[in-house]
Amino acid sequence: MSRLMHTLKALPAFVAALAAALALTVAAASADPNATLDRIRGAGVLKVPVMIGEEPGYVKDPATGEWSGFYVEWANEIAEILGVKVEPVETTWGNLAADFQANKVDIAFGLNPNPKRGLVVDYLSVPLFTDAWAIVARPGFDKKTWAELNDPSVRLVVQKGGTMQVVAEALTPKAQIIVVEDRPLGILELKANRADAMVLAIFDAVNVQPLIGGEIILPKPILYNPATIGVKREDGNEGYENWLTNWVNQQRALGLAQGKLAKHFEKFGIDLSLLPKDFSF
Amino acid sequence: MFDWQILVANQHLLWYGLLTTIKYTIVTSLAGLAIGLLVAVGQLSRFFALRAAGRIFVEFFRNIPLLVWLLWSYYALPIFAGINISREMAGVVALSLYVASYYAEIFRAGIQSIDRGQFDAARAMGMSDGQAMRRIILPQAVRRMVPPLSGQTIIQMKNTTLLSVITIPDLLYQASYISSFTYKPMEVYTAVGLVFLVILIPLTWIARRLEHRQEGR
Repeated sequence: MSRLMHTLKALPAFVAALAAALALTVAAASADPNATLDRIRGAGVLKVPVMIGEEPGYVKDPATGEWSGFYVEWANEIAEILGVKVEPVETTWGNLAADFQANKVDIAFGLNPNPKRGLVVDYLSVPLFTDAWAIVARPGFDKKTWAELNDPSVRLVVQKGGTMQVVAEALTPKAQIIVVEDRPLGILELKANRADAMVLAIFDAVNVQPLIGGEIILPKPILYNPATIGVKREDGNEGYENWLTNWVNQQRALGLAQGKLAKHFEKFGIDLSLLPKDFSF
Repeated sequence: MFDWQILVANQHLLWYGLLTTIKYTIVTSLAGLAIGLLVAVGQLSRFFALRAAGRIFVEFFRNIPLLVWLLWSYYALPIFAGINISREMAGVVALSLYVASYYAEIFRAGIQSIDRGQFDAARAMGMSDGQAMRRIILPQAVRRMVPPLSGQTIIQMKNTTLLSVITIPDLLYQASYISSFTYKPMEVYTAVGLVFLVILIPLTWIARRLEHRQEGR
């Protein structure tokens, strides 16, 4: 009995010591800027979100199920420098923030500025490339500015939850805005003659244009849209972010990013001469 | 005007989706039946705690939207508890528990639909509780349960299409994948609708036959 009492008396001290030790570990972990880098290298894999319907950034081979595309190529290069392998994690834009919080992904490419997602995901401050907002219009449509598009007679298609919805609601509130689930359904709206134009990032516009047969228009004033890299917001990711920023700067400075984009567009059969003359990436 | 060629060209993706859909339907229905039976027995128990637990289970899963529950299953454990759960596991657990709540109600209602007097009579003849259940109540109750159980299983097969939200490659996810690179959503979704009809119409027909057989007795 007395031994038990002795143990019980010692218990609080033991708990306190344990808590102190734990606090030290936590403090040590948060002080190490390499924690995230070390975790990825320790795991041996870089978990990269991949999505269907995002060609040619992400391309899933229908025959083999293997992933390629310019985002995947960038991921492979990053993984190679880290000495790890890329593990593709199939997901959707809508689930991406939860994927980060649940540690299901380590990096995401092609993120447009989005302060809501930015509350839980860290964005690099440098863009990997710069996109612009375009419209793909039915043949014969001739409105060239956002102001002209802001008219009740104009029927604009946007993708649900996408940044294009924000653009359309901000600049063309008077137009009829048709919200669709995904890109193929938007094209169907145009083909069914229920819409005049679809708002798209210019790189998607060059992909969609041949299906519509209409024109790619960069409405004035041109809205540039930087696409960058996002990582999980957590203690110890400073080294990881700093290293990625360094990598992105090199990609831009040596023309590697631009060259890669051009290569993948060509490989995917997209004609970059369709791009309006006043746009470069 | 429909371009059916793209379906032929991508049929291996649709077959894979169909296989996934059937696999999840069978696995989650079987698991759901087992869990549902336990929950129903709990609800019929003489112990208050078991009755309450069964009731809470049924009300929770019957009233939460499946889509919310699926996303929650896949993301909540890793976010709040740091436990990593694969999408396949999350899909099976979420769909099994969901359908179990409906099965449980079918089991409970089926057993309770048999007149209480029969049970008392069986007891008066000297049977134990278990014997009365096995020999008198269940044979009749099970026959009554078959039509609603098959109906619920058909709904379960259609519910598996929600797995596409956590990118499990079921028929619907494969359809959106094919339409994403062919830009032919009408053809693809029409085909998926037809596949469901081809599978489910014979099943509903069988369920109806079972119902008629039961009425004939």
